[in-house]
Amino acid sequence: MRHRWLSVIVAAALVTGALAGSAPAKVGGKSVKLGAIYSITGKGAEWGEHSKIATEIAVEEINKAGGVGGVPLEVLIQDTGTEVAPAISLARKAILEDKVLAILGPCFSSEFEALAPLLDRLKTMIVSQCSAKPGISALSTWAFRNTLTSDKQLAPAVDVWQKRYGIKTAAIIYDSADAVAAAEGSAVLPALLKKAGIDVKESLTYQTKDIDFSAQITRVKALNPDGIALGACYQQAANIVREARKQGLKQPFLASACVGSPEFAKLVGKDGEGSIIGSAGWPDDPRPKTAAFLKKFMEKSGGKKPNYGGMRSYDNVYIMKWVIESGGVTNEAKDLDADRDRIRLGWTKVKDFDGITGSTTINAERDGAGKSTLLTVKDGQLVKVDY
Amino acid sequence: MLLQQLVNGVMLGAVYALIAIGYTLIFGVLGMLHLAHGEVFMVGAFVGLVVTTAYSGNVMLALAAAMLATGLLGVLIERVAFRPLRGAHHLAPLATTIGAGIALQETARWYFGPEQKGFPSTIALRLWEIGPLRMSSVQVFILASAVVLMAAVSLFLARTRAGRAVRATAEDPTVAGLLGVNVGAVIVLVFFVASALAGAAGVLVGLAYNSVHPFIGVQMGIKGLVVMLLGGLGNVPGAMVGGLVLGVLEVLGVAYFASSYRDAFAFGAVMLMLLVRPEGLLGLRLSRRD
Amino acid sequence: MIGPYLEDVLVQLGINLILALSLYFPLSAGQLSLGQGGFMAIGAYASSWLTATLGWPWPVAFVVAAAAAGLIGALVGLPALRVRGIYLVLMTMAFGEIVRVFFLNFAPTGAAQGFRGMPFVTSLPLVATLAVATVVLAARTAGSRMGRAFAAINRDELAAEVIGVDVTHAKLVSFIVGAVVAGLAGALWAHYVQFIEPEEFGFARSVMPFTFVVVGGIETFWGAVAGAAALTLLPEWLRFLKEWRLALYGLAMLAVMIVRPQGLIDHRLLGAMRRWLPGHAKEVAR
Repeated sequence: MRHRWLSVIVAAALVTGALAGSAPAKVGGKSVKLGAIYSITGKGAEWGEHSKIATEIAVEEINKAGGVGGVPLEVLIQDTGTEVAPAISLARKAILEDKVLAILGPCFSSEFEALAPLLDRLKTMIVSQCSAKPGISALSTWAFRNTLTSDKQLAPAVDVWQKRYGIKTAAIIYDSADAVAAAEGSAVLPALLKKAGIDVKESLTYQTKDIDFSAQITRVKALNPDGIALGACYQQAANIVREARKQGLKQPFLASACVGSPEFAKLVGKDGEGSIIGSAGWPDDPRPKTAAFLKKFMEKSGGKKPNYGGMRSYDNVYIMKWVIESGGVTNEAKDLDADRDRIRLGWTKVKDFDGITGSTTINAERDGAGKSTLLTVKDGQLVKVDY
Repeated sequence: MLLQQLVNGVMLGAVYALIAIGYTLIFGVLGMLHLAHGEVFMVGAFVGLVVTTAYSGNVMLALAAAMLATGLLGVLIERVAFRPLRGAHHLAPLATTIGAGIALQETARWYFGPEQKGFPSTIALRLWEIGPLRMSSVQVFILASAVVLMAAVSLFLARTRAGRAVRATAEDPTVAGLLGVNVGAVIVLVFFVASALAGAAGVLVGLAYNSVHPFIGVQMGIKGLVVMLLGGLGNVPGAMVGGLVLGVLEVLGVAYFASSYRDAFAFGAVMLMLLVRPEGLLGLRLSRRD
Repeated sequence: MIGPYLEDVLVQLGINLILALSLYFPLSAGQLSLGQGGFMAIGAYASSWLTATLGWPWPVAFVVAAAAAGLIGALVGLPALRVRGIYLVLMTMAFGEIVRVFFLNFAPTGAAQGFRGMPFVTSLPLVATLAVATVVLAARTAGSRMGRAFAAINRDELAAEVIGVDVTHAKLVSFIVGAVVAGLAGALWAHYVQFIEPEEFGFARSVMPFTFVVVGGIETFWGAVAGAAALTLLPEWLRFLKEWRLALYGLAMLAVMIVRPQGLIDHRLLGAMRRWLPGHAKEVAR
């Protein structure tokens, strides 16, 4: 009899102890301040704009549910105009004047690269939601990216593409004026295709601002490969696809990173049906979390669907919340430096975080790790491909 | 394949020509560069987008609407960015048009969003094969439209009274004024025509390349300047020839060399041209001597 | 103590000021160059390569880079002598584009991937010193024989030649000085952002100093100073307008030019300002 009572008491004590241990730590201060540096105007406007909307949605939700550790969350969003110098000055302002705990963004790889040396001096972390150029998180221990680099996005895509369409020969068309696309076209794709045993017949280039691709397509037509791989952003990719169809080419396309925007599917329609895209987020994912986010995003943006930069920004805000709450961040003015370091440490520990883009893990290189989301175009929408 | 590439080049060149004609007309009568002309082209593309979306693919209506809208925009720009500076330093309009261009870009971005948009599939796409050549009905329409517009402008300048007034003003505005030409009205007319052509080019580019966004005017603007130089400043037939030449050169350059050097090739040609034959391929005609 | 954000803005202002003056030198001799972006790129890449790849001390790298820009300036300035007005504008534009495309393909400095690794050198004191030095250079030039030669050429090139001005020499000098100064601006810029890519130095970059000078005032070098200050600070002041910032910036430019086509500062205004200065009254009394 006594044993039973004892075991109940012990069990109760254990349960209470466990609950107490997993409750979010109480955070001090009036509000938890984060900075956000997005490219809301300029050539990267749509990535920054979607990031801004998604961030605002996340902040609203979090504050409705009680904030971060019981304290309201405040994200100060600034616009870089997709330029490097404003990215630097806004980051410095956020860190030194606004005294934010960490910075969300920037989106573009060039802005990210320019900020890296600064971070070592100022000891505050940044986490990018869309930069896809391989290798640049290595520039600073304070530089993080919650997104897959283009080589990771493409690897499984090449595999699926080859198997689905029986690709033995390919042509590559890429943007030699854009850092990410040029890396994809001149290094990543050739290596991956070679590994898959696909013979690359030719690599053709274009410049970001080009609108006419008739020359490249005519040339590809003469080569007649089984498939066409692109290192591009969705605007030019859409034009390339349409030009190819206009000239009577029926080959399937392969692409990644910047092409993974819902706008791509809208622009190519039937012409792009069946293209394989390695990406980092599927906006139409029917999972409840993602669907709820999509609904809110479309309301707030006037009917637009988010690109993966937007989706990952949303996740990043929630990851920040988790890191702050579980990392012992006190949010007291005197602990600013220590708190910033705690947040940095917290991010290195992110593993299997369940976000709207799937399970997120930050690897040892401070890049996003995890499964690439494979998408294809069907009926003018992006649809997920299982593999 | 070479023949197909030439056709590609001609298509591209036709669009360049339409834009360059506008530049060259304005330079001809005012002696100034209109650095917001690319944005006028961009506005035309958006007007075309709105009309084809609202009226389910009626392309002729889109062309007419775009040309009217951009023509009026051109007149507005003349009134706001050029006329007040008539007596001022000759570089002032460069600055005002740059400012106007930025304002137009940002307004388009605010209203339409920065994403690239495509025209709804309008003209039933039929493909014709003539020997080794393959052309789509869209391409034929574009080429035909461009030719018709260019012919109309040439006839206008050569055969009508208004056209003669324009040529006279380009030759020498003071003398033209003395001879009874209403120089102010001529300038307004020139802006209307030049901008309408750019607007038409915008619709055609939207149809052909399906890429409409607020910043398409920037690159087109620069290309237009290059074509104007190639053809001879103030020379309308020159702009047409220059456009074709640049279009073909660009396409051939991309097809047979790397695209990365293409721009350098074009601009190298420009520098060479300036040193060897600054009056352009067809020589100066409707021009201001500097 | 200035806050870090203001400090950054002032550094950018200083670099813009130097860039604006780089355009003013050839412009004061009647040569409008829309290719200063190209010289800036040369200064930026050359200095960066020297400090990052070869590990040279930055003062040496800066001097060598500016000199390199000057050398290219001479090479471009020579054919530029043969063309005038709009043709010169187009030629310098073409030059700027050629430089951009060159670096876009030049692998040793990263090509399209951009170039990084240079040390942070450009502090506010350094920029301020160099900006002041450039202004002093402009002031000295304006008052010198060479400066008067520039002004004469600007007024009427043929007449200048007739009265004995060595037009070729003067024009070339103005062009080379402009290139050297732009190269310096480039070196400063590169060692401030610590990451450069070719697209930054395109036509938009070449247009910037032009807008500074035209809006600030074409008639004197103070216009370049005023324009750089106004147009660097304006987008920052307008930040509260969020997405409307750039649109208003464009409209502001337009408005200033319509209301005051000669720019913010002209001879009359300078004269009026001088009358307010303490020393002047004595001179007048004499």
